[in-house]
Amino acid sequence: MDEAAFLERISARLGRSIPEDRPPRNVQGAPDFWRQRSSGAQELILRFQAELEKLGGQVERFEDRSAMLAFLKSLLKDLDPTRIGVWGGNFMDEYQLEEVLSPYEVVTWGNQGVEAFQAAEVSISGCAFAIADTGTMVMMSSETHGRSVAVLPTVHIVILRQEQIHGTMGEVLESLSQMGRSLPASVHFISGASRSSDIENDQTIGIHGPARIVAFIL
Amino acid sequence: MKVSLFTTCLVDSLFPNVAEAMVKILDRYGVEVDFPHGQTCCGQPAFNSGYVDEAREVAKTLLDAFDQSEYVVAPSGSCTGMIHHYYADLFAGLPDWEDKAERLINKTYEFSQFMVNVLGVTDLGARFPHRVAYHPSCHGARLLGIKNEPEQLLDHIQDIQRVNFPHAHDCCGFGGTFAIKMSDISGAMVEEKTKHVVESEAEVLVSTDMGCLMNIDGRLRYENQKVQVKHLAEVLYEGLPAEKE
Amino acid sequence: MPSTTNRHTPDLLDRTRLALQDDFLRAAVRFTADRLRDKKQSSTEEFGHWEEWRERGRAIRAHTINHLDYYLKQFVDQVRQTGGHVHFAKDAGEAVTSVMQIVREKKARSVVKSKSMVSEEIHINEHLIEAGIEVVETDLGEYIVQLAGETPSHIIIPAIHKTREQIKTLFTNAGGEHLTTDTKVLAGFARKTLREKFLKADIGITGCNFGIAESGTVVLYTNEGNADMVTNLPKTHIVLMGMERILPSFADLEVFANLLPRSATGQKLTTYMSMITGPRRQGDRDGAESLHIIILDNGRSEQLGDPEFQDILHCIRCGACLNVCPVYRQIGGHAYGSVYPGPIGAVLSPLLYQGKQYEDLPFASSLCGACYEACPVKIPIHDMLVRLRARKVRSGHVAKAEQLAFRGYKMIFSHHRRYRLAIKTGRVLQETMAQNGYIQSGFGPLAGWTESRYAPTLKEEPFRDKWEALSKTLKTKS
Repeated sequence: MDEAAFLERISARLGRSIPEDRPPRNVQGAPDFWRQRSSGAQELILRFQAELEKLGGQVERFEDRSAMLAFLKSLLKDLDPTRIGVWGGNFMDEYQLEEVLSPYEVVTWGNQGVEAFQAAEVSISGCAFAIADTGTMVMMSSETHGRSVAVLPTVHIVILRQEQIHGTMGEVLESLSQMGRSLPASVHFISGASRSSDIENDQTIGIHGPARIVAFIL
Repeated sequence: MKVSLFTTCLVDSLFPNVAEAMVKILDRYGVEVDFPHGQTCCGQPAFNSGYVDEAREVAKTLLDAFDQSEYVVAPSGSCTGMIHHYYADLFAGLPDWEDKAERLINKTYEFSQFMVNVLGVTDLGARFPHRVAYHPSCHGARLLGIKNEPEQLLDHIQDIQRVNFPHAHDCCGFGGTFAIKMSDISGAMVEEKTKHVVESEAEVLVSTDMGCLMNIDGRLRYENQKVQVKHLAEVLYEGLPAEKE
Repeated sequence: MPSTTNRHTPDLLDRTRLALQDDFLRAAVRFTADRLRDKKQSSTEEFGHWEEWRERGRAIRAHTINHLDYYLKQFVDQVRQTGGHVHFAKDAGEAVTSVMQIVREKKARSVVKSKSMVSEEIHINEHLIEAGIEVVETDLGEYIVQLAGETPSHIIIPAIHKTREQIKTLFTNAGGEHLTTDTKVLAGFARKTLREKFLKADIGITGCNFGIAESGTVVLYTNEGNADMVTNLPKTHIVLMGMERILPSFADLEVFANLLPRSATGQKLTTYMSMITGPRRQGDRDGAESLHIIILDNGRSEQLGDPEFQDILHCIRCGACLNVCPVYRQIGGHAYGSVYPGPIGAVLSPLLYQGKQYEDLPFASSLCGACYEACPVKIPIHDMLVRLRARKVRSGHVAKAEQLAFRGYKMIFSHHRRYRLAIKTGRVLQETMAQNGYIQSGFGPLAGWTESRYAPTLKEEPFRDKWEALSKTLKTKS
């Protein structure tokens, strides 16, 4: 069916022609009380940590980069991966990951793609936003920030700066709305590890995506 | 204050004691009660089965019978809910009847709502030393919007032991003609309901609707259980001290 | 006997009878429904202001559906600006044709799918398989159901009716070696097998939870992450969406991101909320290169402008009404015999497919209203069930005996003298059946009732006959 006929059928059922102007609205988005909530930075960090931990995620907070790198080093030693996948671009440099990752085979998104990342046990990325209410981290796709970085490997480590943590999803959605045409093809909200309860209601982790999520807060 | 009794056809023909208890309680509070004989049924059996015209004809008996009444009170959340929730639509666009329906809606109350919200009574001074479970009728709660009025009345009864049971808010499986038309499903539903009631070790199950209680009682007797069922008005009336004079 | 699907047994009563005999099914359905509704209860209580959120949800959906043409057009324009393709399908047949055309153009041989009720509605799997295309469902529950050759029995938990033993057997037949009934082992097999399917699939098919009009974004909710695999890895992504899935803006999405997961599974948010806006951008190394959105009417527009049923298009497919439904609880999803089970299915199915096929479904309800109470957008499902019953009666598709019975009811109950006489007569007639104040074994319409319970008897004197004497004993007189 062609578009005009399809839409005309709807208009006809609604008893008018298709409106040319945006329909006026009394109600849009979340209730006022919800939008007016505000929290201090420290409170947001604590809430984010508590929520993500409730979802089985691991949260580590660091005073500075060197503490983070030291922790990463020992974590990777425990995990003992063969291959680690990381965001491309200047991500490695930004956090000076090179030395810590040097014992492992490292693949970077952009130089490599899906096939290389399919065989990576661990991935390390940043994120665009985090949401305290729901323990959520938001990924936005780009040439160097592949979507698969967050879903193919078994363990996903996310490095985020505390100023990226927002209170509600609404704040993040407003940012997306303002991006207009520059909105990336994929915006991916992650709250904890991949899970399913489809086998006799028995919850199991890591069904398709990562089984372990670790958030590093700087 | 004058109240016209809307007994409902179920109570009139099968459970007249319930209406009697209600009348005697209202009488104690100085309410003048009358019983307009023209009433039969709210029309719900036909309406819920899809027979709208038939339901309307029967519902008219109530509009006529109660047109002069000050208040109308019924021992049923379901029949009262039928009036409140569906009569406006049922009579929409019918001259005279439309107005009569609106008048009836505005003055009709379910018994516990009338006691608590109109008379302002929660403590009748009754005593009922038994383990009592309460089944909220679906139509009372969801169609009519009864909140905790029945429980307020129960909680003020002396020496009553309230017991809870799981899924109290789930339907017992009555559903009017549903219990006839889909009797297998309805039977499975009432079986689960009585299981919970029996496990609660209640001696008496109380509700505001005889439809639910008739269904649950039927299952309890079939299973030869000891639990008795009673309408809220019966429990309150039985618990009242004998009147002097 | 564990469940055998009975969805294709033609008669509703036969299907319910089969379901009621299936003890495993009933226990599993009860367990899952209880778990989901308990979680919903606690998550909405923790959240607070639930009624305010519900009203917000209702108002946004009502506004959107009242202006669906405007917002759908805006959505479509936005999708095209990002480089996506849009197809319009007035019915299932046209939607299938669109899918098959894309499949042919892409010379596709394999398709991976994430859960989509619309794909069930148009039975796309059957058509793809007939054309020799491999189709793999990738939601774990859907995968299990597909291997069993069945259909989902719950909107959110498709394999609610399967035991782990059965799943082990299905996975073993699908090539699993040394499997046990341990959840981890079974899930591990699915992860490994499905990962291979994702990587080699030519086309990914998903549904669409919400389409955001302002940006042309498709929003998907999953817990497993399979929708991300389906949208990230194959070169072509087909979205099947019901035309009413639209929300005007991202701001509105916040409301539904709060309502949907809580109502569906009692989660604050599902593990993944994925937003796809157009095909992959220049330079991107994953994500579909071509995006096709197929927008389906299939009976939906018929509900627009109908004051009795338009609100059914507000539904966000959360399944909360199933989890509280005392009928669904007893019979499970397959007994409804339609793609959409439970209370929402009992309304949606006869509306989308007019005709005799589903017109009995609205009678599979005690009209208790629990569905309305649970609905996050306040659809008056119980009222719609009554209206659909009236529609069926008006259409004349009812038994003569039933028509006569209600004509009789009207005749008797429309005048108090005839009514009183009927009680008196009934009282005499019941003599032969009554025992200790009950009818223990009835016949005719009472037979079904007395199969599982006793029936009460008409009392010697109805209240109306006692009134005169009673009124004389009252203190309060005018």
